[in-house]
Amino acid sequence: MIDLKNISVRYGRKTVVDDVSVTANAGQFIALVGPNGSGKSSLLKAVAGLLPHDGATSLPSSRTDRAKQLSYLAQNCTAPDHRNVEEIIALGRTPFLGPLSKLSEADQSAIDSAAKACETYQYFGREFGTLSGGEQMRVHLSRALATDTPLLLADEPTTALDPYYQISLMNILRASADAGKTLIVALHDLKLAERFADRIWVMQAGRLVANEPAEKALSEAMLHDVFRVTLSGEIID
Amino acid sequence: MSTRRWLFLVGSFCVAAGLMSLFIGSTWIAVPDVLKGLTGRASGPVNTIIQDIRLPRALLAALVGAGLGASGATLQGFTRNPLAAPGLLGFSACAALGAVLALYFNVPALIMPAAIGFALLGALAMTMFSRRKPGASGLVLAGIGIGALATAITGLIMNLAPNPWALSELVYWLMGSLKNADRVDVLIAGPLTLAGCILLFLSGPALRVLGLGEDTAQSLGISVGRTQWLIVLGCALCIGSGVAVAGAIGFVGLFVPHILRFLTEADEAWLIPLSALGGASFLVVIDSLIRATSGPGTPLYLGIVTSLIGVPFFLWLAWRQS
Amino acid sequence: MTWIHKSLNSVIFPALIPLAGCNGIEAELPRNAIVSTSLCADGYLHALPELEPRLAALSWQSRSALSRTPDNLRPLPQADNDPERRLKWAGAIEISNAGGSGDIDLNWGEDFETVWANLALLSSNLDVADPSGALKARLKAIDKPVTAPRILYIDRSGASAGPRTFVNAVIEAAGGTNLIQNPGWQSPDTESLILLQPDIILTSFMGSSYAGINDRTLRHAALADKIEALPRIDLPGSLWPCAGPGLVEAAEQLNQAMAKL
Repeated sequence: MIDLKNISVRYGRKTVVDDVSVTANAGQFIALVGPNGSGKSSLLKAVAGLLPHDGATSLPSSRTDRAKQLSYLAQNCTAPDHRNVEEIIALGRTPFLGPLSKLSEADQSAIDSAAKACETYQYFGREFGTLSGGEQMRVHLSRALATDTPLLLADEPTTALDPYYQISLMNILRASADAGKTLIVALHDLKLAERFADRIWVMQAGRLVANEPAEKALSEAMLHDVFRVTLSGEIID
Repeated sequence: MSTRRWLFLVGSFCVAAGLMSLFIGSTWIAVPDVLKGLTGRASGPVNTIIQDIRLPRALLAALVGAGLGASGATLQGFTRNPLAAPGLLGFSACAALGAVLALYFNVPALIMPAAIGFALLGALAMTMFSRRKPGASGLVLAGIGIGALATAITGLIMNLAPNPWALSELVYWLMGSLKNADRVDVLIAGPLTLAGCILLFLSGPALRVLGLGEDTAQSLGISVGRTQWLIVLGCALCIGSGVAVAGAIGFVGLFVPHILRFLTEADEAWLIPLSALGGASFLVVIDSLIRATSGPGTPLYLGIVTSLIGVPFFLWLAWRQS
Repeated sequence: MTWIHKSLNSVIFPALIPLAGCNGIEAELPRNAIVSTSLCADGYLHALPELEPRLAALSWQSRSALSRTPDNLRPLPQADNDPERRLKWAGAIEISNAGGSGDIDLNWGEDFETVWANLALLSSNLDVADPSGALKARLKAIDKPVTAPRILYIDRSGASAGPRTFVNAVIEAAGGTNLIQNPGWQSPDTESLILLQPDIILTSFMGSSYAGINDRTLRHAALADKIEALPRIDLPGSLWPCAGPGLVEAAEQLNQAMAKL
C-alpha cells in the first residue's frame, strides 16, 4: 500500500498539485481522472520522485531503493527503434542489475513472465521500430511489469491506441491488480476507468476532489462540476 | 557477429595499423631496421626516428582518435541526437581557448594543463547552465552557447596578439596536425586520455537505459545528473588532452560512432569502447597516409584530411540506408 | 525633434573639425628628412651614420627585440606603411622595402650583392658616401678555417635554409659549408633533421618573445636532444631580418664563434 501526505507541486508561482493526501491499498486498481491540466501527470511524477514536491510519500527516498518499489510508465514512452524487444523489456530489470549488467536467472524469468502476461513474448527477436503503436505500448508495459514492483504508475497509457489495444491493455492491468499489484493509472477515458478500476480519484485544478469506488464516482454531479459535461454527452457552457 | 568479436576485430585492426605506421615516414628504413629500432638495437639516428618520432606519433594518433571516438559515441548516446559531437558541444573550442591563452601569455609549458583546464571549465559551465533541467536538450543548448563564446574569445585574443605570425599559426593549428608529436606529449596526454575514456566507459550502462527517456530512466534508478557529470568530465579530459597535442581535429567524433553503429549494430554502451578503438584506428591510418604522401612542401593537415575522407563516406552510408 | 538634431549638429560638427586636425597631418618636417617604414630599411640607414641628423622617423619595429637601432635613436617616432598614417610624413623621403610605395624602395635579394646594390642606391640618392668598400674589406679579412665545418642552420620552428638564401651566404662568407643542399628556405620534417650529421648547429631567432605552437626546435624532445648534443652557435636575429649590412657582422661573429669551438 502507498500513502500520500500533503503532496504539493509548484512550478514557479503556479501550484499544479495542491495538498493531496490519500492512501492506495495493495491490489487496488486506481484510476486517476480529471480534466486537462488538473495535475494528474504532475502527481504521478511527484510520487515517482521525478518532480520536487512538498509533503511525503511512504516510498523510500533513495532513488535506487524507490526504483525497486515502483514502476513508472511515462505519458509519451519512447524506445530506440533499432533495439530488440527483449532488450527493451530487459531494461526493466535495471534496478536489480550489478555494475556488469548481466541478467541472472531470476531476471530472465521476470522478463519472460512479464512478456507472456502482455503477449509480447512472440515479438522477441524483432526490432522495436517494426511494431505497431499498440504493440509498442505493450512492450513498454512489459518493461514496467518486468521490474515486478508492488506499485505501478501509468500516465495515460491508452492514449493513441485503438479500442482493441486499449481494452487489451486494461485487461493486463486488471490482471496485475488481481495478482496483488497496486496500480495508479491516469486515464482520460471515463468509461474505461469505470469499467476496470476499483476506485477512482478525481482531480480538479490540482486538488483531489473525490476518492470513491469506481461504480459510484462518476455521478452526474461530478461530471457536471468537474468535467462540465452531462451524462448524455452534451457540453455545459 | 557478436559485439565481443567486433571489439576484438577493431582492436586488432588498430594494433596492426599502429605497427604498419612505424614503417611509414619520410625516411626510408628497411623492415628489419624498424623492428630493431623499436628495441634500440639499430643505429642511433634510426633508434631515435623509430622510438622518438614514429612511435610517439602513432601512439598519439591512437590516443587522440580514441578520445574523440569515445566522446562522440557517449555524447550521441546521452543526448540521443545523431549530430552530437565533442566539437558541437564546445569542448574543442574551450580546450583551444585554453591553449591559445597559454601561448598569448608566453607560457608554452602550460598548453596542456590550460587546454584541459579550460575544457573542464567549459564542462562545468555547461552543467551549471543546464542545471535546471539536466539531460539532453539543456546540455546541447548550453554546449553550443559555451562553444560559441569560447570561439569568439579565442578570435579576440588572436586579434590582439602581439605575435605578428599568430594568426597564421592559429589557422594551421586549427587544421589539426600530429607533426610535432613527441614522447613527452604521449607521457602526458596518454594517462589523461585513458582516464577520460574510462569515465566514458563507466557511463555506458546508464546510456542504455536513457534510451527509454530521461523520466523513465530516472524511475529505474539512473541518476541523470550523475551520468551527465561522468560524461562531461570524461569528454573534457579526452578532448582537452587531444586538442593540446594535435590541435583541432574535427569530425572524427561525429561519424566514427555512426559508421560503427551501422556496421556492428552495437548498443549505446558497447558503442563507446568500439568507437574508441575505431577512432584510434581511423586516425592512425589517416596520419600514416599523410606521412606517406606528403612531400617536402606544406604537409597535409590531419583535420582537413579527416573531413575530406570522412564526409563522403558518411554521405554514402546515409544514401545506402535510405 | 528636429530642433534637438539641429542644436546637436551645431555643437558636434564644429567640434569635430579641430579634432580631425589634431592628428597633425601637416607636420613641420626639415627639408630633406628621412623616414623608414621597415626594419630592413632601418638597418641600412644605421650603416650610413651621416644620415643620422636627418632621420625623422624609424620603422614600427624600431624598438622591438629584432631591432639594432642604437639607444639614442630609439625615441624617434615610428612609421609604417598604413596609408593614413603615412600622410604625416608626406614631406620626407620614405625608404621602404621592395614593392612598397616609398620614395626609395630597397631591392630584395638573398646575397651580399643585394647589400652592395642597396647601399649604392641609398648613398647616391641621399648624397652620402657609400660604405660598401669598408664592409667588403671586412668580409675579405675574415680568416676562414682550413677545413670548412658542415653547418646546419635551424630556427625556432625547425625551418632551415639552403643555397640562394642570405643565411647560406653568411655561412660561406664565414668559411663554413651549408649541410642543406636544397636551395631556398625550407622546413625539413623531423625525421630528416634527425638523420643529418652536422659539425655545428647554427641557430637564430630563438629568443623571440612570442611563444608559438610550432616551436619544434624548442619543444620536440628528440630534436631538442639532438641540438643539445651538438656544438651550437647562436646568432642574434637582429643581425639579419633581411639581407642587409648586418650580414657582414653576422659572418664575422659566426667565424669567431667557429674558431672558438
